[in-house]
Amino acid sequence: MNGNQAGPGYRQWSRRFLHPGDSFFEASSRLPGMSRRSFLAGMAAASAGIGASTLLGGCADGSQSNGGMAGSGGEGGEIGGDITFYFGASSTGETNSREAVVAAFEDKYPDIKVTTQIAGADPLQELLTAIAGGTPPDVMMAWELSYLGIASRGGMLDLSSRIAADAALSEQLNTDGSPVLMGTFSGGDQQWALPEQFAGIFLYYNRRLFEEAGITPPSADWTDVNWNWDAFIEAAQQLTKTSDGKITQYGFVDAWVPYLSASVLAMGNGVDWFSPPISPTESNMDDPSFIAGWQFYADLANKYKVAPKPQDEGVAPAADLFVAGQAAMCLSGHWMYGTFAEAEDLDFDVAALPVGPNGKAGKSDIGATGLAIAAASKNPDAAWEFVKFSCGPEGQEIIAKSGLFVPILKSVIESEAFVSAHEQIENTSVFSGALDNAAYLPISPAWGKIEPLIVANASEVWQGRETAADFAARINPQIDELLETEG
Amino acid sequence: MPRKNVIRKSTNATPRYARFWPHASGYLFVLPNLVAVAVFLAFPLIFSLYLSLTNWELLTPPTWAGLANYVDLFADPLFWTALWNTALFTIGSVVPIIVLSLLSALALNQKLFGIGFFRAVVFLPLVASTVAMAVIWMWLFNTDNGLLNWLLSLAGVEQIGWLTDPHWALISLIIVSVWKGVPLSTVILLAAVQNVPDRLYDAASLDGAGVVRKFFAITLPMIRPTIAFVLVISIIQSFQVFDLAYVMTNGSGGPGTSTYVLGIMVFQHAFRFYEMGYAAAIQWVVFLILLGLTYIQLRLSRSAEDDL
Repeated sequence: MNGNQAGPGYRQWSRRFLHPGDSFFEASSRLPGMSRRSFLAGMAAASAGIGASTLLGGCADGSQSNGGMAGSGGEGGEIGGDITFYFGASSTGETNSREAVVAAFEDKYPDIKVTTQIAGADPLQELLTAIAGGTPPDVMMAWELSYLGIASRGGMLDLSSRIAADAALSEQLNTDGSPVLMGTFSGGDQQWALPEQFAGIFLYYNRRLFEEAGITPPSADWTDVNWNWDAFIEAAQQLTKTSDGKITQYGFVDAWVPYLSASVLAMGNGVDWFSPPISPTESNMDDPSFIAGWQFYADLANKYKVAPKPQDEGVAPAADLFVAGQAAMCLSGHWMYGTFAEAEDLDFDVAALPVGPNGKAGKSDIGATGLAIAAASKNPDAAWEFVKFSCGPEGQEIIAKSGLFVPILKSVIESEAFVSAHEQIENTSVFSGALDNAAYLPISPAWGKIEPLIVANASEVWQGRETAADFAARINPQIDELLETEG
Repeated sequence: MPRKNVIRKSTNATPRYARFWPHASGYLFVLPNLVAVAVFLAFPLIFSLYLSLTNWELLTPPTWAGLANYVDLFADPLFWTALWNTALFTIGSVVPIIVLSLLSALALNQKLFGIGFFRAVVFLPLVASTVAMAVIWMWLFNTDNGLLNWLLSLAGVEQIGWLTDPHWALISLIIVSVWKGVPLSTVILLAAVQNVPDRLYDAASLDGAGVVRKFFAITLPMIRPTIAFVLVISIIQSFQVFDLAYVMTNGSGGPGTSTYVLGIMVFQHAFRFYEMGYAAAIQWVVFLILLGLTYIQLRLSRSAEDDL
């Protein structure tokens, strides 16, 4: 599972439950006393180690923990022991590249042994069960849409004082890192995770189909206002072919998640989804510019008939249509690159998403996974070394070489290793452009409740039975209420 | 003499504990199962009752809430929606399952060449994993490219949004549930039908009874306890539907709330909303409903047996 698929990914496949009782009992059979005890034990362990103040709440003042930090001194050396690393992977390639990072880490820190745990179909549920059971993984992958639910309930260690105490790391994050990616994993003064990979979305297009139709390919420049909604629809219409009343070639398919795709397009119309984006208090889904984006997306299938109906995309996989040359443009993230690159007879490149009439630039999303440390980790020091290594230049270079992820350090994105891993395409600048023009996905503790509300009701818009405006009038007040009561 | 000695020896060999606990060895034999039931069934059951009286966010210790979860639950309109959907799903699934599995059991009871092959075919849906076949059914249900709509288009019927139209989504789930539920019931009923003694049919034939009369006068009364058993099992399974609804609706119970069943509600509250206590309360209400339904059914089938 890739970072950007976090939202849909853990929904897409059910675990092997026979009935809900199973999953429920699985978690509830663990004594609360136990989890409390191990939580306290974790706190004690953390207090004994460096960065005690982080857990005890008042993390804003770094000076106290700095004392402890200085005491334990430099890297490697004394730090040792066993840690577990929990991560999601949607392919063996992804698993292998993470294992490669682990191997390189163990070479550098021979005293630390890392055991990997690979996520199943529902990472959030697995993590909750493990944490509640008192056996959390020391290092866990943090998915942008869901991590805050865990962090806000005390499941994750605040990393801010550790970052502040490490001058070299702070410097590197400031100059080479991405503030928006750091922001995705921060809540106020706390920093819950370091970003590990970026997976923004963009437009894949079939070069051959564009050439045959004699149409200028979509722009690789996210700020190119000529590549706008009108231009997009025109291209999609010219590239849609029908025979006997059935569509044989779609101008556009969406291989992502309908409500997320529609929202990112809407954000390209000059409006944020939520304000403020992190821990929001208000939804902007009833903003006319946002509504226009949702309507534009729904119209692609219902009015212009250049795309399959969104609710069906998970059924007749959009990516397969694109691979088969039956779709000219495909919205998806970097995680599909490997599949498309391996496909025979597919001549493709990447491009920016179109700009809305009220927008200044096309928008990608801040889809990212980070690495966090469990609050109850028994070895947070070793875990911290691993997080720094994976998210730092050494780990990122391994990631870049694999070509499976977009690294989060600018120097690594521009590195030869990353560019040469993408030989098949010309517009590699679209990746870094996506990071520069990325809009926040909703980062809120209330997201767990908001998402099902949107998913269950949006299908009326995708099916053309309800306008985006009516949907917003119906649902937006409920979202605002959830933000108030749960946020 | 020697014989008496032997007897005395064996009496002496009786373990000492047997004097205090005569059937100890019997209990020892079932001990592994008893432990499993206690640890994996009884304890979670009691513990979830305790949890339903608390607010537990999983990551922080539970706090005592008394009956608040139950009070909130009965005031929650989504609970009644879920209960209604679950009841519809259960009735919609169980009735066709019983009728179809009875018919296929009768058909498979014929002495035909190659009947073993047909029995294997009927049994196949049971072997497939629910998630895998749910995905395949989603292909069949696809509005634009699905096989079902293509077949309907040959008959001139307009496209149906099987999983995208709120009026059809629950019906689609029921279709898959019936398809999945028939095999096991068929096998159980087939065994019962085969156990009906042939001499009853022979006697009825001599009296001039036809096929239909034989079915209603002999087969049905003879397999009634088995039908009652299949009914109980099917109702319990349908009422607890989760995996099917979860996969086929992307975990949302949509479109709208059209397939929002209790199973999805429990899962959402437990693992998406961090409300384990509330989820436990829902699960206990489900448990009590099923307990009540099963009790009524057993009473009914018992009094029906007494009538015979």
